[in-house]
Amino acid sequence: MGVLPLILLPVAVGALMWLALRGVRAALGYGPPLLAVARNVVDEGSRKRVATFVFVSSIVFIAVVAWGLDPRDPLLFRIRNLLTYGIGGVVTLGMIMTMVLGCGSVASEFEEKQIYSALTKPVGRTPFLIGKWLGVLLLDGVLLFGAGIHLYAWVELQVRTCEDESEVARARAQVLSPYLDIPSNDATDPETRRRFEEYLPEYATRNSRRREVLGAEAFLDFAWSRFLDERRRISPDQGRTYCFENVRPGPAALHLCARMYPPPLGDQIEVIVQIGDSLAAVDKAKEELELLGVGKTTVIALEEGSEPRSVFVRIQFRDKESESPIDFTELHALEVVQPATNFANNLARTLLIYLVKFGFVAAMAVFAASFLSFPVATLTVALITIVASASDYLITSSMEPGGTLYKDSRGRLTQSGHSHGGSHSHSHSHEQPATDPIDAVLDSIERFGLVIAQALRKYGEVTPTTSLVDGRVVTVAVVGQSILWIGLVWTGSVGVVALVVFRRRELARVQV
Amino acid sequence: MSGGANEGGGPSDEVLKQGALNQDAPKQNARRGVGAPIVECKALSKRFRDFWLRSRVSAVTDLDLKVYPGDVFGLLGPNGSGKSTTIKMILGLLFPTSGTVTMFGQAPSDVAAKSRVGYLPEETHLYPFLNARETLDFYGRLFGLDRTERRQRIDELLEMVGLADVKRRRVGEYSKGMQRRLGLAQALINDPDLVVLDEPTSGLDPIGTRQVKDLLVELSRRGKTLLVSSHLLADVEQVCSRIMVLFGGKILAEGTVDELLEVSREMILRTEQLDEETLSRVRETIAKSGRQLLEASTPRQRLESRFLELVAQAEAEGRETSGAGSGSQLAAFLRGDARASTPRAVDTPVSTHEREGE
Repeated sequence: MGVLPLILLPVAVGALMWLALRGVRAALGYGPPLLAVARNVVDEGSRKRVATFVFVSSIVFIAVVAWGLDPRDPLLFRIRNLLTYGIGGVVTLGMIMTMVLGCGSVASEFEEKQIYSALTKPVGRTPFLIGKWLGVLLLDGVLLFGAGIHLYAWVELQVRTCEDESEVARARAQVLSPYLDIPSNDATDPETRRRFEEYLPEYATRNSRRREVLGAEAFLDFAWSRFLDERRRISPDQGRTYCFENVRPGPAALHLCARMYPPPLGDQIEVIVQIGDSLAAVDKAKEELELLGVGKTTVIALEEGSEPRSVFVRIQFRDKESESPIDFTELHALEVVQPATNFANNLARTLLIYLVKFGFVAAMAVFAASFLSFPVATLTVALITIVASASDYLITSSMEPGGTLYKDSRGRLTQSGHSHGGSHSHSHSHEQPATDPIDAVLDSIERFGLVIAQALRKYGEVTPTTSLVDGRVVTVAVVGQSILWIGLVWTGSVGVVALVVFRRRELARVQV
Repeated sequence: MSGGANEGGGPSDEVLKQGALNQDAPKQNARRGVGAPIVECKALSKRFRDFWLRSRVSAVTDLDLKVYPGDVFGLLGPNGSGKSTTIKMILGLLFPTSGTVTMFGQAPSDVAAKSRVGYLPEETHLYPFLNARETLDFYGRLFGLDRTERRQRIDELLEMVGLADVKRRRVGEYSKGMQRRLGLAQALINDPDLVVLDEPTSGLDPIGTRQVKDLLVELSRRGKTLLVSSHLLADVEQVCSRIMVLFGGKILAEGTVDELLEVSREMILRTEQLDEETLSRVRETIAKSGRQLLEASTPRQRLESRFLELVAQAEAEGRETSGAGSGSQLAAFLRGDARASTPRAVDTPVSTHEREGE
């Protein structure tokens, strides 16, 4: 790839972002006072160089990442690296911009006292605060718009300049044609149910204390999930059947990405696909299957025009002498996938989710700065954002043995020492209140962090970049959930609290 | 004897007091008790608390205040007397600890009431990243003015405050006085019925100070109600019809300027220059009536007058400046149709009455 795109592309994207910014300003030039406040924030962001700096940095960052890609690497890896680092960098820059501008635009109103003039005009405090939030969000929108175009252009450029057709086809199959994954539904398989009936009595005996604490119904759910976990590990002398329901007509693929050591040869396991009542409507047939092995993908085709139907996949060891089991316990280790949308759409959905996340951070920033000074507000928002981003990891870690979280009889996450209904069998190191003062403080910090993490878990759970890079569809459901939870519920809640606090706040300071 | 001829042709304090401002404008407009008060404070108190919510300072105590339509009401007092705190409570920036405040019969937070108010804070706090035009456009939008009206008013106001030539410069690059002028413009963009000015001449050069005082007179003539806070006594004396003196958050004195300032035991006579002989005869005549001539002196031209002359001369010669101009006509929308041909704001009331004085 020549130097020319490295110059032209960023310049073109910069020009587009500039136009977008002008467009936003023009659009905010009309309408109620709320939009005037928003436009003021847009002007503040661009003229105080905060937004301009972030915009330019994001352009340069993506260009540098693209420039730094090793052309000897497979195209698929290059695209994945570009997307991972590109989006990661842009989101980080965007978060910083959101915090600085969100906190700064409100805090400076108090510190530089412009609010004296602004709020003695006929604009309510509610539209004033919403206008501030909207202005920050629109700048975020411009940033993500530019980043999206820039990333898409570089990906296209990488594909178009790649001379190896097989690499291009692989990249298109695995990233650029996002697919919808269909997880297996083990509950509908009669054989699996029968084996669970056999498994349950022994498991209940071994875990009588847990059964007592959780109650019969919750224990049944717990035992079922443990059974499936165990069952996903296939020993050399075993075979398993997995059921994938509602596979739509058209092309589909079976992903078989399991943990297995030592890696088996392709002919050591047998994969049998059954669609409806008939066996193996498998594209590229036996030869492909022979080469499939673990960590590969094969293609299965359902006839066009037929109804959605169930696909059964049986994994069977051929060589009973093999030493290692196949471990399908990882997420997405075994699944049927179907192409569902195009890359541009998937990228747009990914960026939309980040915009929703930015909106939440912006709301926190505006809120915090309405009663805290700029540095304190910024640090507070940064801390909460970091905890929220890591919430999924924190919670998962805390549910490991020795952690401070467990699920109670109703399936709710509960912290040890705060259990509903007294004692529980969950063993961990913090079951008793700490007697050492330092431990007590650390415990309190941990508990406080987990409370925030639990409250904001959805924020950390939704990781659209992972789906985008893996070539999975960022589904409408995920986007909708993000908008509902992060956008409406959390951002709305922060907004409501902010408005209540702000409306009751005196705007001037003591000067006697 | 004080007062006397205006040798330099410029205005003098005596002229300002006796001619323009005393006779025509606000003091004649002292409409106390006419109509419902535009601003009303009843037993208004404000105590500030510290971080631990302990009561620390009593900024205002049991203040009763009424500002009627057409009043030019001056709040006087030394630093820390509670003037700004009172104004901030009237505008809803601070909440009273006790007592009530209404503005146009509504709570200060009422949007409809706020749409009739223009406010110039004690210090001009503008957005440094906007230019003058954008600043006024922003405030105009907060008032819900439509685009055409905003443009027209902005042009007129910038011309009026002498910033038309620098309207594209960022406000952050303005001098304090220029920012003050722009602050004044923003306070007037909605053609307010009530103008609240906190230390309006603070930071202004003599031209700006003069212009502001003239502007207040002109606004009063148009029936606007003005609430002016200042510790510059001369400014208040020249423009206000009623004044209230605060000290330690309490009312020290209240009334019309004449009521508070009249010295009934003395009188000022102004004549052309007298020779020593004539002066002796005057002295004798006064002595015959059992009175005493307390002072007879030849007045000097005031520095303000001389300064204004020099600046006017420099402008007439077309000398360049990157700062504010002297300002121009009072904005048309503030003049009203009847006064569309009003001359320069700086000259408006004062020069008219100087001529009358001569």
